[in-house]
Amino acid sequence: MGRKAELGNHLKLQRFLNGNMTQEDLAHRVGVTRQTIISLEGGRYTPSLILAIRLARIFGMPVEELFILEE
Amino acid sequence: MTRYRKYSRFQLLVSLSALVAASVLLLIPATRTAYLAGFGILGLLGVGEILFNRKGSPLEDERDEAIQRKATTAGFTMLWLGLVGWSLLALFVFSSNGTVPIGVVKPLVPLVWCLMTLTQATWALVLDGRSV
Repeated sequence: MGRKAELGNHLKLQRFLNGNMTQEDLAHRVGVTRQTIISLEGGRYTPSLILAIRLARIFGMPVEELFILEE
Repeated sequence: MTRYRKYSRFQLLVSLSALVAASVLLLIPATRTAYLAGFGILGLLGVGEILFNRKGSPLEDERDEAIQRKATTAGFTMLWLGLVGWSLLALFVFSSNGTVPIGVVKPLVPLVWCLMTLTQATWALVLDGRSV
């Protein structure tokens, strides 16, 4: 039986800390729609590993610091 | 509104228009025999991606693709339910004759296609609204 886990993240905080970056800017930089960033920040969508790495690179931090596995 | 959402709305509009056109043609005595022509509107589905594709930003990103996968599964489920349901209905209604009239078989493909597209587009819009 797998344990149910949720993936939290600090996207909103990091956008704020990185010059108040807009969701649109971030979406454009990682090649997704703004709707996806909204869903990610709301915790309603779990990104692919590729997208997670791209986001972490934008903010210059490891993936596991940007995303938190909540079990 | 994302372009993927617009595309799903377009799919929904085209499928509904095809159903309405076929129904109207069927109701008018002069065009009754050519009612299947109404489903020709479904051909517009083929230009949907061209209409909504714009350089620079993706029509679908990975979240849209996840929604699309779920919506396509729902669409195909309806397609098979429609096919099996229609076949069983024909079997029950015409089993005593031993043959099924061609008029019953002819609309099967466009109708089931409409059903699949309607389900797929509706489910995609529902999932997008829920921000999956």
